[in-house]
Amino acid sequence: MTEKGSVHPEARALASELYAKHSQEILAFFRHTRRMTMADAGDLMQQTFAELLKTLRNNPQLKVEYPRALLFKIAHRQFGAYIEHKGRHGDRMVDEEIDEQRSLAESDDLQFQASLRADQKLLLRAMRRLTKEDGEQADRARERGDVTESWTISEHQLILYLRFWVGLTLARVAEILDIPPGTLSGRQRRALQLLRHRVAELEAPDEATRGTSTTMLERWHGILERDALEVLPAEPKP
Amino acid sequence: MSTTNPHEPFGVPPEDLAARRLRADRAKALFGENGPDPMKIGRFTLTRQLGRGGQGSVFVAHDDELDRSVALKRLHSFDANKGRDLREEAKTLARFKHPNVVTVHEVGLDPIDGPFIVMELVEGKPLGDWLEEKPRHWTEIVRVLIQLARGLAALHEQRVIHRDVKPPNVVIESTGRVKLVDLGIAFLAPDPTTEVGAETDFEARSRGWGTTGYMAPEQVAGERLDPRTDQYSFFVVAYEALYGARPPLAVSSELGRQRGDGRSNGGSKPRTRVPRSLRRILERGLAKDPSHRFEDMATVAAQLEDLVRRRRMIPSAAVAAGALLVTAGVVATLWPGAESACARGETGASLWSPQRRNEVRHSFVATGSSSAESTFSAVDAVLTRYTVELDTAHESACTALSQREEEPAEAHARLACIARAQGVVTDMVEQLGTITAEELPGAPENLASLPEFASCTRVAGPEQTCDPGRAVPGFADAVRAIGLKLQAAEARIMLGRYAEGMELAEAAIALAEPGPLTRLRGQAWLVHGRLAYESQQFDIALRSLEEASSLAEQQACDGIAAESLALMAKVRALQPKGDAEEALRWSQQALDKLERLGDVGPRRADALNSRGLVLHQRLQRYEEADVLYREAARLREQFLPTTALALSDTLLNRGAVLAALGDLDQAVEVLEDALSIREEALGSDHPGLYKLHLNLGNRRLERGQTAEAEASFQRGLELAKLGFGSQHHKIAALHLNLAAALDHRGAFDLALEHASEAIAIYDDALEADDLRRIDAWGAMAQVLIDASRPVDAVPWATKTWELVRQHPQATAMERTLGAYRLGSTHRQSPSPEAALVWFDRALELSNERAPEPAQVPKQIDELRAHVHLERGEVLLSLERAREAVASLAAAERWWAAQGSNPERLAHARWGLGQALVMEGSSPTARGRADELTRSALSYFEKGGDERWMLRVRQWRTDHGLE
Repeated sequence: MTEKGSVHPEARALASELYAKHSQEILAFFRHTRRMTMADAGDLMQQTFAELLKTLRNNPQLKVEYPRALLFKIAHRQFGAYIEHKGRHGDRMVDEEIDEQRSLAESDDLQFQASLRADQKLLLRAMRRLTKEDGEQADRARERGDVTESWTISEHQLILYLRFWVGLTLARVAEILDIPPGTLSGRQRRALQLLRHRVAELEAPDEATRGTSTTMLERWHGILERDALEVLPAEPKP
Repeated sequence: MSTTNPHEPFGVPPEDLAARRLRADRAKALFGENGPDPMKIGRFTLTRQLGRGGQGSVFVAHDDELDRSVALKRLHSFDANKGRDLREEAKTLARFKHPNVVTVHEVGLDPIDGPFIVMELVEGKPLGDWLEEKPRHWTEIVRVLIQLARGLAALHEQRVIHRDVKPPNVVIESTGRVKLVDLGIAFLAPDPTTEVGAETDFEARSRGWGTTGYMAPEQVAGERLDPRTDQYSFFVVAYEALYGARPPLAVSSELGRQRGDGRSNGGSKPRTRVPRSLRRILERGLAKDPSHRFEDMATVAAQLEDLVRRRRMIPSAAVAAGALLVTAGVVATLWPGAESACARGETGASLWSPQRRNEVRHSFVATGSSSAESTFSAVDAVLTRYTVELDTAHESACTALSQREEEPAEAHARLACIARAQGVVTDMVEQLGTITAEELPGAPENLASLPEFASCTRVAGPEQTCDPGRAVPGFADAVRAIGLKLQAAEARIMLGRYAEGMELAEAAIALAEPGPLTRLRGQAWLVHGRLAYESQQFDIALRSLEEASSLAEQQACDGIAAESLALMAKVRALQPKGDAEEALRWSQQALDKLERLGDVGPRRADALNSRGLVLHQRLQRYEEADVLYREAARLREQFLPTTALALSDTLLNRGAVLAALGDLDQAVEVLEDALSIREEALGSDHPGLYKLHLNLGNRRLERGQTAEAEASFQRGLELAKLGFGSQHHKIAALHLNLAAALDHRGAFDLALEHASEAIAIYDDALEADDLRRIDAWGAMAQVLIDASRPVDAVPWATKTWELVRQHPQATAMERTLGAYRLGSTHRQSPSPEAALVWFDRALELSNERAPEPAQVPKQIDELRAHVHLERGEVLLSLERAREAVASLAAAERWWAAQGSNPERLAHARWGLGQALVMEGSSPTARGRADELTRSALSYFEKGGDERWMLRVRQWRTDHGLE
């Protein structure tokens, strides 16, 4: 997959520049979204940039106005493929994932979490609980004690991560997710609401972290309120 | 944990080196060798991660250009475009060089990684590890702090504020050099001379940065910083190094109470003894208000240097020896081979080796006493600290000798002086090996007799020591024998084996008979006198000391003469008889002699303390005594820890004087100091502390702090029980104090219990006619009176009176009190007529003062005021207004003048006001009554005393005064 000796030096230069600038946050994005080995995250990150190179080569006229949005869009796609791959191989794969691999993922993930502050860590865990099925049904499942961290990634999780963790604007995130900004606005509201539940669940046994994470959530809500005032017209079209 | 900026998105968490390496590998796969290399920041290749802090990660990196390893600190959460002013700041840092501050090589701005600082790579142990490595003596710690302070002072001189002074940023290199590292968030303070305080962009953005727990209050609050911010952090580090925990929040107010026991840090013990003078420095540096801190770090460094220097030796002009250094001259003769002592490496630690320690412990346990273990711990703690100090002194003397830092003769004298201390300690430890159960409780207190060696600097001339000189041909053996005898005699003080000690001293005196040895006789008599004094045989002590001083006078050895005279004054002060003025002269002579010798060491402190005692105990010249005690305490403080118990005694004296002067607040503070010093020396569970708790309780009671007083008495009682068992007569005294405190707060049932306990103990322990019994009966009567059970009180009051009435040893005070109590019981029973008879009797008796100046004129005057008040109140109830006015006015006058008991004063005024109106007199008297009752009313209102408040108000309304 190397691009050595590429005939598109501009594309290569741009990709290289973007790699220098953004590979760290793309890598972090994969590691954040779900538990995986560092090598898997590295692969996904590498594929993202390989895909970027391809896109740039194939569209020499492409003006990259929002490189981060573009990168996250590709990353999102890569992640989708990865999930699909896992999904296609279905439960079999999850079950048969050899212990070593699983424990490696676990330990890499723990290491990643160790680099986070306590409040960030809590939010990360809460966000990973925002599964696709999240809603009343999932709440009831949880009440039955049927709780697992999802192997997939929900749109809610993605929205929250890109909006508040990475700090992208509503317009950029809408672009990445291919949904109209108005729709996104509603979904992120819902996502925050759900997140609040998940945080409460996690916080219940650990009073100590309550202050920080709740404050963080309040802040995100604050951003949301501000967004609601400025709403969409203010967002320039990409 | 570090502070975070709450106004930014989470962003990317700081990346570790493994993730960076992964990105570097994948970059190679994608772009080949010329692609981006995340392992590089600027021209530096990262090789190892050193740490990660809130403000950035620190790496070991290789400078490819200069081919050297460096420390590289990347600053997180920086917008790369705004890194420019940081570079400006950093230029200053890069120009700055100081041995105690890490060198900043350069500051860079990486387009991807943002600003970073490249620093010298310091290899060594962070302060925390260094402290954990092994127990460190406070002087070792202070030496590290001095270097750190110097580094900070130099930084501040360049107007650079470090802002992140904390233990991980203090590194001790293998050479012992201390380096302050991590200038990652340092910034330039505005130059007050050229700028109008314009805030830099960097400063504004980085406000509130720093490490929680080490930040100064103004830093936490995000206020503008100046070098005193670093000073605060420096002192947090210092405090933590010494105490093993960070200071409590309200340090400046707390530290004063803590006094080094670390209790307010969740019970953590200090790592090392922390001398008071050092605690004072800490206290100031940790002041919440920056303006209360030290002017600058250079001052801090100087103060700490001073402290260490002072500890090592007193100034050369002050050639001094402690009370026990009298035989230094002998020792100089006994231990001529000082260098060989250095070569042999004889140390104090070997005197208290694990083996010796174990043997002594066994002998403690073998006494079968239940307090054997706790007493041993107290002794062990003192001896361990003492021998460490002794080692340091020994080591420094040996260094001075080998490096020719001082004249060989002086170095020898110093070593000899230390060797002598070692000799006495060896003997003392040996004594401890044969301790008996009876000797057990006194042992820790007697550690005060450990020889003082802090002032073993130089032993100058014969006038100080009565040194017979080395050349006493033909008498070398005799000199040696005398020295050993005196050493053994002094060691007997340790276990209170005074008679044995005095015998040994007498043997030394006999040995010193021949002419050339006369000089030694003076010393031997001094040791003898001292032992006699310790055993409270004051007459013998005086005779021996007079002998010592006159011999010393003949031989012109001022040192011995001064010591003898000072001790003579002390003996006289503690006796009720003898000419006090003469004692004053003695102490003055002692001070004059010491002044001529230039001695400002512990000997001067002894003389000052003795003179203070004469003024205080015998002449009641409290103000003058206070001045002397204060000076003595100041001196003794400089020679801690060897002077700890003596210092505590001086403070105890000062507390008494302050109380006599009516300054109870100050008295309590001083006594708290005394207590903490003694606790520090003996451990907080030592029975010997009971006295201080008792005194503290009394002062607190006088101050109206009933609950605190009760706690003090309770603690005193516990400790005294440990020391004497529960049936000792000293225990009874504590029960009585506790009863008084409980009575004061109206807990009469409990008070009665304690009074009964005291009576029972006295019944067993004391003879039938022992006057101490009246204390218990009187207390019983008092509680019953206060509990409104006057009839029950009558028999106790009568018993008291019966005993004091005829007793030959009863004082006027005791008789007065007896009559007064009886009067009080009758007043309440109620038979006012009988009460009046007893009150009059009490007043009469109070005038029968002893022919000598009374010991307690103030107490008896106060008692008279009590009698007058009650007498006046009874007369008032009998409507004998004119007589009532006379008594109540006397009481009112006394309390108004003293200002010590506002409650009694209010009652006196209330009574007098009524009496004046009842007398039906002039408008002036009426005006006065109005004034008096209004004042009383305001007191009752302030205290919320409703009963009296309503009565006074009603009365004032009835009499048209409202």
